[in-house]
This record gives sequence, structure tokens and C-alpha cells, in this order.
Amino acid sequence: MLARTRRDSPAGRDELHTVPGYVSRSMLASFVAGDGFTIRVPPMAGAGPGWGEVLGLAPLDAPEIHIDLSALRFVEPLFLLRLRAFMDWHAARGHEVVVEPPADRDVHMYMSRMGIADGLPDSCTCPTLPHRVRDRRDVLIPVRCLLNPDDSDSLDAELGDLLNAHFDGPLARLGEAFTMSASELTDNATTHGTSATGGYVAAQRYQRNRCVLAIADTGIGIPNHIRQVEPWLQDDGQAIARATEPAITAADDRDITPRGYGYQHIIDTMIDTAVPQGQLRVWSGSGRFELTVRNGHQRLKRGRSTVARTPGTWIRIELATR
Amino acid sequence: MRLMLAEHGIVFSTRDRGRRMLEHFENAIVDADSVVIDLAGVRSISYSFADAFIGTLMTRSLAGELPPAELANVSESASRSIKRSLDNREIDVSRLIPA
Repeated sequence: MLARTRRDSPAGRDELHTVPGYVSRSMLASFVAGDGFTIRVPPMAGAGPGWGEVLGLAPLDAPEIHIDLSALRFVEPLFLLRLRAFMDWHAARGHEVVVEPPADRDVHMYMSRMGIADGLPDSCTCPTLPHRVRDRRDVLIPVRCLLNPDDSDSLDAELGDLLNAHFDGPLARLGEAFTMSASELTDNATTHGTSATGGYVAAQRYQRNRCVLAIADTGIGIPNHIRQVEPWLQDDGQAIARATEPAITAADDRDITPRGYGYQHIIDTMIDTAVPQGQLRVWSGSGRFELTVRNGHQRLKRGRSTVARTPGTWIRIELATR
Repeated sequence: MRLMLAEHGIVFSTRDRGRRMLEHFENAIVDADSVVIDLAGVRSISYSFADAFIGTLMTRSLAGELPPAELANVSESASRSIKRSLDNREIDVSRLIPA
């Protein structure tokens, strides 16, 4: 295990040696200095969304930021969204971002076929490997940005193709829940999570019995949104849990239009279609929320708060046939 | 007048798209005697889209702002979203969506 140290390299860069543990935004911010800044991502950082804190959207003064993914051994969609949002966010502020790709070729290939570098700002460098169309058979939705209504409409067309192409056989029973989740969360991200960098979505199929959808935005976050109408909800975890209840919304037209049903509709769809295993996880502010459904029954629902703060809203939905 | 929603896609997600869909159809239906929203071929409608398009259309139809409207070929999947919207708007669902 590497201890966290700070040293000035001969190149004048401060380096952050990460430990296989949580890295807070405050820790990152404290190492900003010099000509550049390096974030060295741990091997399993891509496996769980919590590790995405390493790529917290802390304001950094370094004109050039290096992200060292060389040690990465596993990546899943939510981490890719974190990485892409990080690059877009810093590019919008005039920073250069250089990504050193994973040394593990399979991981690097996965990132490439998930489209991590598609449409990347000119100031960002993220090398990818060439791949064939048939290598993307497990890609449900490559990493895509949701900036305007056209992006959402294009995603609708893509979801239609997905239903026809991927959700047959064992996965057929997951198709409705997957599509409904993508639809409602896209609406949330583009309505309540607006920002200069917009929202992001990606999804992957694992073999023929599981799929993971990740969707995110860099907006004000669910707790701040809900506190516009329920300011007493100071605990971010409770605020997220509250947001999943019917008719809870801070939308401007809530008094004349029945809004605030998106999350409940996702949950109900998992239940009504008897998804064998469904999991919804949300990260926003210091709040963490988890809900599970098993064979048409809600099994777990909890919101809690942590020390770490996550800007925006980050959501992961996993659906499995067993 | 019959409106074939599948001519515009088979998956419909956002509230904004629902609002734009209603705006798109409004001029065409305002002088019709009646309107049928035909959902044949539509695979998925989110609650947000359903409420912004169908929910709003039905509300305005019942208020006399638009012609009488009904639904046709509503899949089980689409009916979940549409029923939720119409229930929230206190519109009699059974008359609009066959059991």
C-alpha cells in the first residue's frame, strides 16, 4: 500500500500518490501547484462508483492535468461518465487534460469501444484503440453527452434500436425496465440537471443476463433541488430518498402539472415487469441512495449521508435476469 | 383524424419532447371533429412524455380547447405511463384505455 506523499518532481509537477482508499476533493485540491497536476487512479477505481470521487470536479488551477489510468484493471459505465465529465468540465475552463490509457489492453479496448473519446474537446487527449463494429456487441449506449433536446431525441431513436436488437431471449424481460429507466432519467438530467457541460449516459450489456445503465448530470444536485421546496431536509441522503417518492419536485410548473413521478415510475416498472434483480443507486451531494427490487418486490430502500460530496447527480441502474 | 405516433419513433422519453409533439399536432387537430392517438408500434413511453403529450391533450380536450380524443392500440407498457398521467390529472382512464 502506498502512503500518500507529496513531492515535487524534476518536471515541476506535484504528484499525488493515491492509496487504495477514498480520495477526497479537499485532498486533491491541496495538491494543486506547479505546472501540472497528476491524478493516479487506483487499479479498481473503475469498478465502483464511489471511486469516482478521485475525479471530483474540484476547481484546479493547473493548466494541464494528467490522469494516469495505467494501473486500471476494471472499468464500468459510471466511471466512464465520471472521466468524460471531468475532461469536459476542465476543458470548458481552459485546462488541458491528458489521459494516460490503461496498460491492460482489454480495459483500454473497452474504453475505446464505449466511445470515451468521441466528440472530446480539442484540449483533451485520450488515446483509444481501433476496433471493429462487431466488437461493440456488448455496448448498449456508448458514452454520449446530453446537451440539448436533439441529443435526447437521438437517444430515443437509439433506445428503439436497442429494444429490437438486444432485448430478446433472456434479456427480453429487462427491456421495458431498462428503457423506462433511461427515458425518465434522461428527462431528469436534461430538465433539472442542466449545466454548461450537460448530462451523460452510457450503458452496457454483460453476457446475456445483465445490463448496467449509467446516467449523470453536473447540475445543482438532487438535495439542492429538493430543498427548494422542502428546506428542512438538510440530510442529503434523506433528500434523495424523498425525491424518489411520488409528486416530489421543485419544478416551476408543479402546481399545474403532475410532476415528480419519474423515480417512482422507474421503481414501479421494475416491480410490475417482475425484474428478477434490479438495483438503483444514486450519488448526489453527500447523499447516497440505494433501492433494490427482487422478482417484483421492493427489498431495500435507504438513503444515507457521507463526508464526501459529489457535485451533480450520478445514477447507476443494474438489471439482471438472475 | 388519426395520429400515428409511431411515425415519429417507437421510444419517447422526455417531457420536452412531449410538449413539442403536442405543439406539432395541435394545428392539425384543432379543427377536427375528433382525434384518435394511435400507438400501434410504439414500444415505450415514459411517464414524463405521456403526461406532457397525452395528459395535456386529454386535459385540454375535456376543457373544450381541443377536439374529443381517444387512444388506440395502447400496449401494456405504454398504458402504465398513460394511466399514471391520467390518474394524476383525475381523468377517467377506463374510458380511454381498454382494459
